This record gives sequence, C-alpha cells and structure tokens, in this order.
Amino acid sequence: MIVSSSSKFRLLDCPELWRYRHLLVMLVIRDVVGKYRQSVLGVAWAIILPLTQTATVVLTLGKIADLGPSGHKYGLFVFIALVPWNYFTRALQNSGQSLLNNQTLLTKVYFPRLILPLSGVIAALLDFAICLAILVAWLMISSTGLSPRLLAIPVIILYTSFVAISLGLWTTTLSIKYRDIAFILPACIQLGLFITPVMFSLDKLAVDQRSFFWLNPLCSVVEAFRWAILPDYPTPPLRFVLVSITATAVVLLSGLVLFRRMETTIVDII
Amino acid sequence: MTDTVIDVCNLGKQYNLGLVHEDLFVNNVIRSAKAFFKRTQSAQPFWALKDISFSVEHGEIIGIIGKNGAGKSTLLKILSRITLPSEGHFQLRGRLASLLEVGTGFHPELTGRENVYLNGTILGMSRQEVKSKFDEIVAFSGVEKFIDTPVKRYSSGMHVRLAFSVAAHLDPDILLIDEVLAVGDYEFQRKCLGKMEEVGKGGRTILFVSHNISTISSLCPKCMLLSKGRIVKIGKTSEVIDLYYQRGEAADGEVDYERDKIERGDDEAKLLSARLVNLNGDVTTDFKIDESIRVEMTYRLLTDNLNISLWFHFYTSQGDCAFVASDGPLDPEGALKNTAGTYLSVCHIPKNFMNDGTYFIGLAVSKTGTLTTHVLERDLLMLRIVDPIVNTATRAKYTGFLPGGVRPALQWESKKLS
Repeated sequence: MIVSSSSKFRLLDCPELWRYRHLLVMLVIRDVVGKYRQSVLGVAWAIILPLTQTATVVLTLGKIADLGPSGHKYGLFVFIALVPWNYFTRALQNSGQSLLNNQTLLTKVYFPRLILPLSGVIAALLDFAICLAILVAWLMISSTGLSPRLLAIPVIILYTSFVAISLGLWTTTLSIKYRDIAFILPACIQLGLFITPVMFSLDKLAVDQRSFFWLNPLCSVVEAFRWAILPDYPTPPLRFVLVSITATAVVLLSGLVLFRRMETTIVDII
Repeated sequence: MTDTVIDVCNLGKQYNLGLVHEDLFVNNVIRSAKAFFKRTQSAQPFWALKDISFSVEHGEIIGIIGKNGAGKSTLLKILSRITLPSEGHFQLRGRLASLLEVGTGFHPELTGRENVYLNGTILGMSRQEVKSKFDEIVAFSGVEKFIDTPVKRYSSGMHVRLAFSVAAHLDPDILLIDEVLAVGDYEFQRKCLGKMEEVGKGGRTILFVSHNISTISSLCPKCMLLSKGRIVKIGKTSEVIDLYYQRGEAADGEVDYERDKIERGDDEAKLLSARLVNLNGDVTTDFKIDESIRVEMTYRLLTDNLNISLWFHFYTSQGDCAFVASDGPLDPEGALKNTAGTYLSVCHIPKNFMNDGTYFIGLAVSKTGTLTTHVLERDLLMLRIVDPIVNTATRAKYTGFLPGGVRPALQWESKKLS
C-alpha cells in the first residue's frame, strides 16, 4: 500500500469500508449499549419518548385548534410522524457530532473516518425499530389493519437515513473547525419541527402555501411514512418527492466531497 | 523480491503555527480574503518533519529516540495514516497496527468483555480474531473475575492491565508503538514487553518510540535519532544512543542558565544553574551505586527576607517519583539565605542509597510552607546509577533485577532467639 501527500481523491472507498465493517458494528453496539446501560427502563425509553411527545401535542395544540386531517385520529396522526422524525433527529445529532465525540479515536488510530457518521446513523435505528414494531402491533390489533404499503417502509427509512447523513456530513465536518455548530444544530432541529407537517396537516394550509413546505425533504419523509402506515392516507405528489430526492442527492454528494477532503487533515485541526 | 516492509521517501509534515482554529468564522473569512488579495502568508509554516527517508526490513525492531518535539510522534502518526504527510510518500507491505495509546476507545459503561471486543476491533482485529484470543487476553490481564463488570468500576490498574493485554495480543505484520509503556505497573510492563518480544521473534516488524533509553536498548537492536524533524542517524542502538548523549539532547548532568543567558524564575528568585558532581569535583551523569552524589543548584535572590525552601524531585525513567528531598533544619547555614544575593545549595545523596537505573531530577524554589513556587523545573538533570553487581552492598549477591526507586543500605541486626 502506498500513501502519498498527493494521493488521488476518491469519493468512496467501498472495499476499505467493507474491511472495517467489524469496527462499524462494534461502534454501533458501543453507542446503543452505552446509552441504555444503567437506566432502569432501558430501551423502553425509545417508546416512552414519542408517546409523551404525542400526548403533550394532543393535550395542548389538539385542544386549541383542529390541526389534523379529516377522517384520522389526531393522536395517531402525530405519533406516526414522530417515529421517522425522531429517527431523523437522533441520526442527525449522532452523525453530526460523531467526529467531535470520538476525538481520541481519531487522533490515535486509523480507520476510514466515514465509519463514525455512519455508525451514528445506524445506532439511531434501534429506537426507530422499536417504535415501528409497536406501531405495527397496534395496527394488527386495531381495526385499521395492515396494508401492503408497509413494504415501502424500508425504502422510506433508507431515504431518511440519506437525508440525515447528508446533513450530518456537513455538520460534523464544519464542527471540526467551528464549534458553533454544536449550538446551531439543536436550534435548527427545533425549527425543523415547525416547518415539517408533524403536528399539523398540509390540508389545513392554502394550496399555494403547501409547495413551500414540500421543499423540505422531511415533509416527503413524514407524508410517505403516514401513507405507508394508514391505508387511506393520500399519496405524496411524485413531483415534490422527486424535488426532495434531488435536493438530498446534492447535499449528500457535496457533504461527502467536503468530508473526504477534510478527513486527511482533521487530526491537525481538531 | 526484497524484504523491505516500510519504505519512506522524502516525507515531510508541515503545520501552520499561530493559526488559531477556534477563531470566529468572520475573522477567518476576512483573513482568507486579505491573504488572497495581498498574497501574504497568514500563518507561520513549521516543518515538524522534513526529508525523512528510510526503509525497514522484514522482522526488524527499530527504536526511535529524540527530544520532545523532535517529530517522533508525528512520524508514527503519518505511518499509521492518522494524518497525511505534506510531502513525500511511503509504502507499507502487510497489515499495520498502531499502538499510540493503551485502551483507545474504552467505554466506561461497557463491561470488560465488551471493551476487549471494541478495543480489539479498533486496533484492527476482526471479531473472530478477538474471539479466538479472548480467553488468552483475559488470562493474561488477570482480571477474569471482573470481566463482566463495567470498566468504570475498575481500578486504574485493572483498566490498564486489560487494555495492555489486548494490545499485547495484536498480531499485525507491522506494529508502531508510541510511549505507551510509560503507564501501568512496572512488573506488568515487563510482562507485556516479554510477550511482544516473543511475538516479535515470529518475524514482526516493530517501530518503537520511547523516552526510556533502557527499554529501547534492551528491545531494539537498531535505532533512529530524530532532531528538529530530521533524521540525525540510523544505526546500531548503542552507537545512536551514544550520539544522543554526546549531542547533549538528553537531559544532562548540568544545566547552566546563567551561561546560556536564559532567565528562569520570577522577579524574586531566579535559578542560575544546577549540576551533578562526583567526589572528584567532576560534573557527570553517571555514578556508581557506591559513590556519593552532590546535587547542586545556584540561584539568585532579588529581595531580602525571602523565606524560601529548596526541593529536588527524583523521578525514575518510568515516570514514578522515587523521592523528594527538601532543605530545612539539616542545613546549618540555611537560615543565612534571607538577604538578596547569589547562593549555592547542595544536597548530598549518600552512597548505597539509590537503586540502579536512570533518574530525572527536577527542582523547585518555593515559598516556605506553601505550594507557591518561584522556580519549578521538571526533568532538569539526568542521573544514571550503575550497579557493578559484584561486591554491591545492597543486593545480597542476587544478580537479577530489583525494583524500587531507592535501594538504601540500612542498619540491620540479628540475634539468635532459640
């Protein structure tokens, strides 16, 4: 193997990532186990959190205004959206702080740096899987029933992961140089909750206002997820989904270029 | 086909000194803009390594020595691919593992077992590999009983032992080790070194950075001396170490700040010089175990009625404090040093008091009864105590290694009781 100051730039080195798959797995295990160990309720927190959030929204906003779509229970409507939304925020937080949180690893040992944001996103999957399992169990018990649309969920969640890691790559790379990101990121996530139709239905907006909301990739995620769970939920308009996918692809690609350019000198700056 | 496993060619690493990275975003933009228009260099470039070329054959064990800041760690960081060189290139054959720290990535909430797997994969082992060596690793560490306890409940000793055991069972073709053997208890370190040596004979190539010259000379047949980012010499370890001492780069038997026009101290007391002197009045670093040692310091007091205490700190080459010596009532003239002026104070170390080995001596001039210091210098002087072993008063004809910072000849008495 030759290492040179003028090594050629490669966007992705898949064989190398594959060689380090054991490390990826162990880092995911570390994140998940480290998080829940010594908490009495353990992974139950994964479901308690969105339930509390839903209850709060229903008991406050739900009492003030009629924000949900007609024909659906508001609580269920909110909860279903919170499942992918919480996954997205956790994945973004994990990957966005992955380089800073693992400084000792970065400065003491070599591995493809991409493993860190990747492991952050994957570690967030556990909470999501638990919520999804509960949701599906509920569907089976209730009168709603299972629809074949459920099969689209892996695709939707893969897309959500791409959105999270594309933004995560940008934030984690920038946070190496500018620690301000640590303050900006939570604020942005909070704002994001208001421009994503989690607590309100797009039906309640004027038609010309809706397209603005669709520019947000998370809007597609949330609407598609509801569509997959609820048999009679309207299909998200394809043109908006395509816009969202294109935007994500651009952010992902540019984030990857930025990350790969910085990763060789991260240790000198951090 | 040659047997070269590491081939380094014109390697250099540049850092920009004075560039503050925690800077405001706005300032960075302004600076970049200025640099762009004026075409001026905004930061001072500094070469941590320059023109490094060497090659290592299969199975060689090479020590790397040099002062702090000579570039030793930077070199290992580049070879282990943690950072990229600024110029030049290098080629590696075979699997490489770097050990720049013991227990990298240990997570306090995880159990010993989980951490062995985590640390093992971080150091480049596959899960199967860790699994196959797991029992051996745990047995070696001696913490079997606590292997399913979170490591946050471990004592620091257990922590280090477990971490070391993982490291000692690494089996790469090339191993880079940086200074890691400076922690942990001495016995266990020797055990690890033994284990590494054992595996090393199986044809492993090792690059080894250490401040501990005795470890380097016992472990590495070949050695590289770095100074200011350049290679001074690569060759037989004994020759390179001699050169290291000749160049006076290692701590020495004498430091003369007055002669070198260096100011050390505050505006009340200044250190002028310090030295080790033998019975003949010669300044030296090397003493036989049955020689007495004069440890001298000269200093200047700038004000009257300065109530000071003098300290010498003796550290072993493993970094443990052997003992601390302070002046006090035992110095009959000590009370005289309360007016401004230049003084000489001497600490006498009797013969047959120190253990054999290398010591680093620091000193302090403090306000009596407080921790406030006028002067505080670490690793100022180096002292080597040589034990000829034959006719040594303090080893009872035993010729092996004896631990401890001191090995004093004390008064004993025996009588027959029945």
